[in-house]
Amino acid sequence: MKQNNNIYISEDGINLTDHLTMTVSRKKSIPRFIPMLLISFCGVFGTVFSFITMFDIPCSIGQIIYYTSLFYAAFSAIFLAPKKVWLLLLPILSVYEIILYRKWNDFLYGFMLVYNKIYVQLSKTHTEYFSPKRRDIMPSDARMLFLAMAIFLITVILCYVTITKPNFFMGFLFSFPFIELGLYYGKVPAYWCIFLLIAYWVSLLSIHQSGYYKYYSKKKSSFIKKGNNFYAKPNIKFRTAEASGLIVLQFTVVAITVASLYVSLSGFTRTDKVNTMRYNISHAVNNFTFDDVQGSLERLSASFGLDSVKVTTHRLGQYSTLAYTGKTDLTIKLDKTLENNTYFKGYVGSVYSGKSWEEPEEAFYKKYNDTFDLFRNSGEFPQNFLYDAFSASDSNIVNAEISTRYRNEKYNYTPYNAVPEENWSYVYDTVVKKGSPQKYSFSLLDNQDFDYLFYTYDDNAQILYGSSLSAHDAYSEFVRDVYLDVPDTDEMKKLKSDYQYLFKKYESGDPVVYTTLANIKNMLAEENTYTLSPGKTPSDRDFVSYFLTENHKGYCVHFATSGVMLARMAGIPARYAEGYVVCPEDFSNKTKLEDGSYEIKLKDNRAHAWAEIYLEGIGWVPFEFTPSAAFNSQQIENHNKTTRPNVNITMPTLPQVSKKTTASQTHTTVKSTILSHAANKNSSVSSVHSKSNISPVYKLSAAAVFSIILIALFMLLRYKHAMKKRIKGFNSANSRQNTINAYKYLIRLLEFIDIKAENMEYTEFASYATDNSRHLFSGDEFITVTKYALEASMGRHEIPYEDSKAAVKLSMKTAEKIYERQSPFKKFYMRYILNLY
Amino acid sequence: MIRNKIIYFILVISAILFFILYADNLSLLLLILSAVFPVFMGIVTIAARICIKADITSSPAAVKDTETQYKITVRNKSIFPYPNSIITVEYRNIFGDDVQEFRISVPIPPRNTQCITFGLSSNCCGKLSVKIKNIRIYDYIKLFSAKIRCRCQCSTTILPQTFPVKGTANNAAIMSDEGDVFSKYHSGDDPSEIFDLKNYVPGDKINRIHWNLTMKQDELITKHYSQPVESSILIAVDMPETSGKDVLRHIDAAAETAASLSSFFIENEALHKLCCFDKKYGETVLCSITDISDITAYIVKLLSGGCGNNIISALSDSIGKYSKFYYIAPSVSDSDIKKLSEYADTEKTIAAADIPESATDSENLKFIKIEPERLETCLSQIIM
Repeated sequence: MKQNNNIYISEDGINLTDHLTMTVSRKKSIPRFIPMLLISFCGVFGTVFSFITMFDIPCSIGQIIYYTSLFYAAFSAIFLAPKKVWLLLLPILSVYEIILYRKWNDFLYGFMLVYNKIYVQLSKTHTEYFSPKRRDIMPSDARMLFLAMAIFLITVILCYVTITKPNFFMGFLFSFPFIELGLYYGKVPAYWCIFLLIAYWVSLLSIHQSGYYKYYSKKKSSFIKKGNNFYAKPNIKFRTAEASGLIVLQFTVVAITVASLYVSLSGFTRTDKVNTMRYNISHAVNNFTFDDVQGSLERLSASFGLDSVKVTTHRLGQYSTLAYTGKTDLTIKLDKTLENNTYFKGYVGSVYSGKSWEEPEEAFYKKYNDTFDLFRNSGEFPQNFLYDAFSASDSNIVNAEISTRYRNEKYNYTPYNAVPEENWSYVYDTVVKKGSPQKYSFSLLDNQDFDYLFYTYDDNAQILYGSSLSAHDAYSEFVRDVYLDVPDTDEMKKLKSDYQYLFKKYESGDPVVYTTLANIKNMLAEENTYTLSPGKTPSDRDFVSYFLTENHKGYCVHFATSGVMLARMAGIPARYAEGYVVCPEDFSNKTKLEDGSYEIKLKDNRAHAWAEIYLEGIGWVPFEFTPSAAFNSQQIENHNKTTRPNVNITMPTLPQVSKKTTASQTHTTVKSTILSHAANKNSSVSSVHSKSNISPVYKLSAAAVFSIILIALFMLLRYKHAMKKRIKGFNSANSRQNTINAYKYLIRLLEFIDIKAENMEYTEFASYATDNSRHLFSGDEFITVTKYALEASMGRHEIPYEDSKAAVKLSMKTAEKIYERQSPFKKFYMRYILNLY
Repeated sequence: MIRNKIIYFILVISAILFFILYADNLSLLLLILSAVFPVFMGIVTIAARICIKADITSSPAAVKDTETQYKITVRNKSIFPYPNSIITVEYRNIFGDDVQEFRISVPIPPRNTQCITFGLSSNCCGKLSVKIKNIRIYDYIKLFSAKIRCRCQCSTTILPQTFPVKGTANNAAIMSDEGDVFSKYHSGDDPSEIFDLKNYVPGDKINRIHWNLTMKQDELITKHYSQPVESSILIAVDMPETSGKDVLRHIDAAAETAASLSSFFIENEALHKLCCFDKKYGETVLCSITDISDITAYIVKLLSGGCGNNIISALSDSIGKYSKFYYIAPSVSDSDIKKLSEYADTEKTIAAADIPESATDSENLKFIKIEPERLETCLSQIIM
């Protein structure tokens, strides 16, 4: 289209003139001032009374209403009147300033009084911030003066931004801070005030969105023409815009009224679910740490009810408080009762870093490849040593079925003495995996009482070899290499020297296992307190050291980790384990099912951490360092929340470690035979899996996929933006600029196919390009466009629209031709990297 | 609008969070309000779709290069005002390729009818088709929008201008001894119709004296008989098969040529016929042209037909009856020339913008290339 004096001429010679007129059949409508008065009334009164009622400012409400009404009426009238009347503002503001000047001290006194009132409420102290002492004026008068002056300012500003040129952002900016200050500290204004404000904001927003002030010009015409579009000017739009504001105001008032009636008549109360969620969110936010962003985010998402995703983190000391939701984590179905506390182990921590439990490096396992080859070949894995030692006993077999509510559960929680199965896969020497971690079954021996093993072990302990000696021997070296390792830090060294007295040894230097463990346990119980709110471990401190030397407060993780490290210091191989615990008390009548089996629902408060001690010839045996007395009472923790949810935090009833003076007859007659497991060679699955934590490969893949998606999105957005910009550059009202843009685009296209200007002059390059790209240009097209471009950039005359259109057409045609000739990769490069087509 | 939706979505999420984290009923009321507000906006938008109707009208014909007013009428029966609405208008010349559109951002008041008037003029004759493509209505906070598709359009026939033709018509060729139509300007010898009564001038024929009037008026009055004329000129205007920018200019030139030629013949009392193809009925239409209004009616019929005619085939039986045949078209093909050459008795003039190079003038066949910039010269050449 040609453009000539605002007359647009199409290629077919059709002219669209630049004037548009509009008439309306029914001219009677709501007078302009009514909607604006109503909306500004809501704004002014809502703001003033929100502030007054929120902080309970002692003042005469009648006087407040009087001053607000007076100022509101005055300024509304002024701003609604023709602009000449606005000159009245000058004397009014002058009077204001004179009064302020003359009464400055009183005004300041009033400000201090009001500030003190607010400060006392927000800081929840009785101490006032200012201590003004004036006897020549009553505090109420000073307060009233300050409030009146403040209301004056608020009114003039809000009336201006509402009536003269409705602007949502300005209106919001000048009204919201007054209530935000109080809301942040939990203060609430009177409902009617805040609803007035909300109605004000919403109405102002709708008027602002109408954009009626957007297109303004001094010309008298009703429409502004920009490009090929006509926009109604404010004088056309304002009535409809204000009518829309009035409609929105009415709707808001009706909606709030109906909602309030509903809430008050129905006696609405929040559900416990919402209260629990509030508590969980507060807890998750308070415990958010950038040291463990993933865990913090997962906790946060779990607090929003997205708790089918489990938080799996083995970082230590990151929670200041442990909070339980009371939801069932595991559902275990057993066909018989268990007589002892049964540990269901899911995770084993081997390497302690000072801040977390980790797995040994892959390279470390490779060093002991022979050992693990022996396990694979013989089918005798350390996970089965304990079972192998007790399998010949007359223990009953209990069948169990476990299901978890977590979609991303990684672990199979297996008890000690679980009967090995063919479809097990062994994760090195730590845990086993079986099928889906969400639902699986296994069998176990019901003799889960291992305490006696400790105190009999030292008395020339009977070696209960169940597996082959060679397997145990091969493994012992690995155990000593890994599970005696203590970080070589000053803190650990100090701990070792401080607690040396606990470590009992034989003359040979071997540790007296039971005595040492008992000493450690007693020390932990005496010197430390069990609590679910121990506070976070400072990021620069070692977890164990901080617990033992400074904090002395913790839960099972603290006790288990400290116990493991002290045991290692004493020369006893130990490692950390996590999982759940089932107690005999769980088999009460109510859990019994119709088929005679028992269903136990383990809630999240049954999650537990304990230690595993390696006993030569026996295997890994669980040991409890957490004091048993701490679990015998229920504790309800006080947390710093806005409301208190009806959530009872119950401690898990954990097994009591007690010396069993009499072991069952079956245990003492366990044979110390070396069993051959030839039969198991073929049945055991000998694959060794990688670590139970998220493999770095998966993490990397996920990160790579996510990055690719982000990059793709970015490229797409960039491409769209570039195309939009180019089209705008070709279709602007300035044909000169259009021509130049088209020429520049052509140059970029030619550069893409290696036709570069280098040191050539424009016309020279035009001929060169024409000669070298006959397939792109027919005749002297490019030379002609070059001339147009030169004229556009350097000439004085206006460029005919046809010429600029021709330049644009040629550039688009050239781009298409070049694009069609490229390979797929170059097409992608041209489009999404260079944004050329 | 997507930005507004995103912002509102964030607002709703904030309201939900506020409801969860803040125990007072205030948060519940805010949540209810933020949930109900989009519903209300949706209702407002749906009401627009149901209650707003639009129409467009204009005059049926206009002369080239003069502005024609188009009126868009928008009726809103609902109680809701719509401050944000955009009317998209599309216009084109049906003989051209170029389809243009423009937008009008206009408020729609409640329970009201508003008329928006704008002007279009065309440099080329043809048929201007203007329609309301759609009306997009936004709600008050631009969360939702409704697109109202209007199937209303109007057409205006753009009539060509006529140019003066230099030359004179050869009246002998059109004067006739027999005929029912008599010349208004020339006397003849047909006694069936008296052309005029004048005072006797020496040299007048004695047998022409009107004796009754002479006796009454005491002076010699002579009768002048009329001259019968007949139409033996046929002007056929053909339309191209396709539309396009260049085609439009040629059509424009062809229509102006035909109109100018026809006007010239009327001024010179040369009764003639104009021929075109009536697409509506699928047949050739012959219009006897006796005055200017007949030309206008013919042009309207011609331009309403649109593209795709080929009149020579339809006229194959008729051409021989005329002493003069003028064929005006944007282009003429060799086959058309060959067909026309068959009618040896008829004097044929082919005027077209695009004439094959092989075409050469012969005894009864003349080619004139129409150049829109030199139309008057071309017209003179046609007449000569």
